[in-house]
Amino acid sequence: MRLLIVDDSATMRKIIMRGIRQSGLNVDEFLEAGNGKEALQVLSSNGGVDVILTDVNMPEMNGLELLEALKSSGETKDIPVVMITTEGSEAVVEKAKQLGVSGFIRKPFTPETLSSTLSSVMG
Amino acid sequence: MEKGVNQPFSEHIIEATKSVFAMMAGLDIEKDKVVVSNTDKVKGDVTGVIGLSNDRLKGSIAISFPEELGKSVVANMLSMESEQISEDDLKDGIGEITNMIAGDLNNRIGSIFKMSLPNIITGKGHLISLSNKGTPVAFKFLVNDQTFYILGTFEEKN
Repeated sequence: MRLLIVDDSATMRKIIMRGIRQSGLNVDEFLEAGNGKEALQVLSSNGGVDVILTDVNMPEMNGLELLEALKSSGETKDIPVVMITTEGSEAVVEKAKQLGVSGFIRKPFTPETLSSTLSSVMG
Repeated sequence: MEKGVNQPFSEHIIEATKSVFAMMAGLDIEKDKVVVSNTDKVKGDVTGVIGLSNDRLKGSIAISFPEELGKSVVANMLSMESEQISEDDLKDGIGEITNMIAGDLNNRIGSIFKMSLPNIITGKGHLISLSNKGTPVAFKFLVNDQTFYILGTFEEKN
């Protein structure tokens, strides 16, 4: 499995990777990006991934804008996107659902939450 | 009731702080005392600050650590040793802790606030001021016999 983690905090990207490894999920490769714009560049340069985990509040291009861009492209519209964020407002959740988000994880989280959400999204 | 704990959102600030430390760093923390005036000096080496606002209220949450403890907490979050934590790791990690505590607080009270991105202040022994406006409150916490502070201030918008 290839997984793209999008968060403006390098520390949070490391925590997410550590949590996924601890959970026992079999990930062959982690790709990283610091915002939505970088995520689109990473996908363009490195090919597709199996799942994208993205923060919502980021500079340059936020998680909702990234989700919208992914779902409007034929090449990326089928990649499951999980939002992993402190942002829990109804407005953001509703907007993400309308755009086709596959799952939500709220920070703070446990490795078990990461594992169960990713397993559910991957079917 | 303990002095200060009737300030807006105090119990939620305490619970959000405990939750973030337990889930993200595997640390059990203990609230030591409450500070509610600037006559009590609050000092730190690295401080994260985040703003929260809505149509009626504006405020901020700050979390301030001595450098050694800040590195130790960030190291726990990353499963690393304190000696491996760089200055950038420390600032980024404290920023994330600040963001998560404010976010968890906001979720606990119904996501009523919009949040800013966190800012980080560094400098050995800087003083953190409790605003004279609104209802300032600071909580001193203990972790592994070391102390850090969480400060919260909320006031009505004019």
